[in-house]
Amino acid sequence: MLFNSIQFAVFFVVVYTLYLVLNHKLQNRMLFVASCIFYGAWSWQFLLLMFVSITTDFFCAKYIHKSSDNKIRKRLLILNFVVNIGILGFFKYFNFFETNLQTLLRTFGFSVNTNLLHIILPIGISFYTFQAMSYSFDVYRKQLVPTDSFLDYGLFVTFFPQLVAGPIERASHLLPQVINPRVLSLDQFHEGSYLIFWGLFQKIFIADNLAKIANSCFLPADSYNGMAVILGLYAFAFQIYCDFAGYSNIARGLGKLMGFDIMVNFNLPYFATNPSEFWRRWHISLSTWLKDYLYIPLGGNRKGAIITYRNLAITMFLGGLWHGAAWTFVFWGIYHGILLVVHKAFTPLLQKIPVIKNYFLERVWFFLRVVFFFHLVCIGWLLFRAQSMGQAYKMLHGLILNFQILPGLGIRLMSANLIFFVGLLVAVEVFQFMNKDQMVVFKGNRYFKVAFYYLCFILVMLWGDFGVNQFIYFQF
Amino acid sequence: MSISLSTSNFSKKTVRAAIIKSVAKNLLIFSPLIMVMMFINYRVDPGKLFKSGGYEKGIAVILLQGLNVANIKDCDERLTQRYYIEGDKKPKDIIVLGSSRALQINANILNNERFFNHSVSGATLEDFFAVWGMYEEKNSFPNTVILGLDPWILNKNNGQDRWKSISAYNYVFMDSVKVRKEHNEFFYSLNHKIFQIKKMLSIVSPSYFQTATHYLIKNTSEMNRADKVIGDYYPTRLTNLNTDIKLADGTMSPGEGGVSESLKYDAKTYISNDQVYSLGKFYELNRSSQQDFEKFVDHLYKRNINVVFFLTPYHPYVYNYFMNSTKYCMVAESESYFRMIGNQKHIPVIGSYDPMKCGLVEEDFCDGMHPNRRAVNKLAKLLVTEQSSGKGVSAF
Repeated sequence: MLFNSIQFAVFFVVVYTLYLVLNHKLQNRMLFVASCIFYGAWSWQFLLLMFVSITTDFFCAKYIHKSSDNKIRKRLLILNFVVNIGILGFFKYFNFFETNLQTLLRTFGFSVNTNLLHIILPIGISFYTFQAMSYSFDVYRKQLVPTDSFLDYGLFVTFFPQLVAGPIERASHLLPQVINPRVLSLDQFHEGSYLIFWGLFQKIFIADNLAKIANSCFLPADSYNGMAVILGLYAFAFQIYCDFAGYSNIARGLGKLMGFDIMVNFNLPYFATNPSEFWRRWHISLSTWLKDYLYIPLGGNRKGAIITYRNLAITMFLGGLWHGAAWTFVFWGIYHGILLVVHKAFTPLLQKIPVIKNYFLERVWFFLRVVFFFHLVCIGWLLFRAQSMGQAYKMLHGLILNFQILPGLGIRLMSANLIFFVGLLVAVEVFQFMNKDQMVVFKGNRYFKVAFYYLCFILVMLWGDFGVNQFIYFQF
Repeated sequence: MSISLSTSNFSKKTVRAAIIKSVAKNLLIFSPLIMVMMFINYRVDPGKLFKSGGYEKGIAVILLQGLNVANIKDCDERLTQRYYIEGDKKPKDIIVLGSSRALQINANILNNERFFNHSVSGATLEDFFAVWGMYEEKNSFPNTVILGLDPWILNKNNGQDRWKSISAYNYVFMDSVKVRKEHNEFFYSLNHKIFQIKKMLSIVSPSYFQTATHYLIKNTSEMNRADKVIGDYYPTRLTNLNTDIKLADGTMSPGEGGVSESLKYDAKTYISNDQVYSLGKFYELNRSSQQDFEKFVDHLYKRNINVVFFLTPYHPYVYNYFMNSTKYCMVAESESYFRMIGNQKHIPVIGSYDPMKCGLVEEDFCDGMHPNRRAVNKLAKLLVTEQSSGKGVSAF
């Protein structure tokens, strides 16, 4: 059941109507059942798997909290960790490790059985596993008191707006909203409606149309034209952003309609001028999760430069692996790790650059830094989107050594499409950035808003892709 | 739109009422756009969804007079088949059942005037059954049936449901040969009704609106061209005009300029979608479809009808992509399956999804999946070779 499908629209109308008439206790029960139906619509077998994870987390956290013996607490935490990572590892990484192990053994002349277990990846497993694990971590650290209600905890993990592609919520933020009665207001309703509208626009008009350009540029080939590669990279950069940010906006919007406040997951990431800033703006719920539960426990930046670099590299390597069981994701993570390390190493030097006092020159300098870093991010997207490292290499080769200035008919057409589909997004984001407010359009005057909604509506009606395409991050 | 109300000031009931009021207000704001969409969908109606078959009946009447039909804009091809078979008084010798990929098999190639090509876009087994059901109902049968077999007919997830506009005939066939034991008249009539409702709901469909506006813009721009045919379809004896022509033998003659200038680009575009036309999520050869297909072939055999399997080649670029992609490995599996069945039942199998095997090159295609006129001649040689080898295609 995808957010951009008629089935979901019908599902949500029914859920929301019930939500408006029920009291808090029944609202939670109804939402829990609705979330199970929402997930079960993909696969009821994997719903059972999710229940295994939820049950383990709930009881482990409960007994961690009850126990005063540190050894028992630690063992329970490890048990919970092993169960969660075991499920995630088996379903997500087993085939990857098996294939690579077979290749390695074959390299050394061993004959190996090539039969693979064709394991299907449960949708959203990485998201709900991380969300669930953070709960037991926080309880172990005594930063959170666990709930006694299995239903409340179950709803915290399964809450359908953010179940399959995040944001990865923390229990300290979302659980109190589940436990306590929520306040509904007309302002929230309007804000939520705007977020849903904008999220759907990002998905249906921008992401799904750009997908056609990106897909055709990333087709397997013997060699690539640099111009086509760069076009494909631009298209994919905006596709993945609008696809994922669109999903997050819809999730936040749905939450707001029901009185929930789901965390902001994207904050104009392509306005970042360096990797640290980028990760404070992109997939914020994952980067803060990795920071809190991996980077800081590893020592963060408290143990000197070398250890800090190591910690950054490990965090980004695992962050890359979190996205998928493929070398392309691993190298994408490593690439961002390198960017972070290099930036960290050169920060003292960069701070010595004198501040430009002329407003215009300062804006130009800022613009150049944004453009430069955007291209570094695009190189990362090449690794992320390529179907194999071989393809990534060929595309990089084409980008550097086969850059033809005169593009063919197809490329010209695709370039025009790219500008058309991205134009409004760029305008809106510049406006948001200048006003330092992502809701600036929503806060505009009535006539401006009606004109904006009309424009978006017409664009979607005329050029939106109604093929009900899956969100990219569902596969992670 | 930015009214500030909160539950701190109002009771829950008041907030609910305010939300309902807000939804109604927003619907009112967008209603002019929705009305425009509904108006255009209904008036332009590119798929002839709201015209209850009159358009298709007219086409069939012209074809039955042995004339070609020019300037068909869009029609329910399946309904045209229905009206054609209903009105046809001359028994047929050879018919073709297949998708648009089999539309190049024409009467000239086979040198037979009692020929008709019943191929329709995106045909599935249900289309085969439905068209054949019409012959069953008439109790009039051709001597030879050429089955244009596309890989997607064995794909459970092919996403095709256009056959439902003639699903009643599918039922007729199912009933006569008991293709499926569990078939149920109620189920088929319900299915048909749901399909009719879905058709009617197209009036508020944004994707139908996109088709309608593109159609409208295309027609408006063509009005300014002196050489372009505008208005409704009309009968003609010509086979080469500036517009698409449905020929009297059921095949299509594309309008001049209908062949793309950038073939490789078209082929690339064809496979650039996440799911290639009807071949998405093709994880396995659907067992149930295989059983239905085999029962259908057996049924034709029992009726003493010669059967020929025809496999239309794909564009070389597309075929190469299929062969190198695990996602589409079922394409080759389908061909192997059809060949195996042909072998088992002594049915000639002509062509291949592999263009190399048919001697076709990039220039022989209109796009990623349709061979062009040039290819027809090359494919004709395969049919003629089959005829001369005398492997039981007596009708040839």
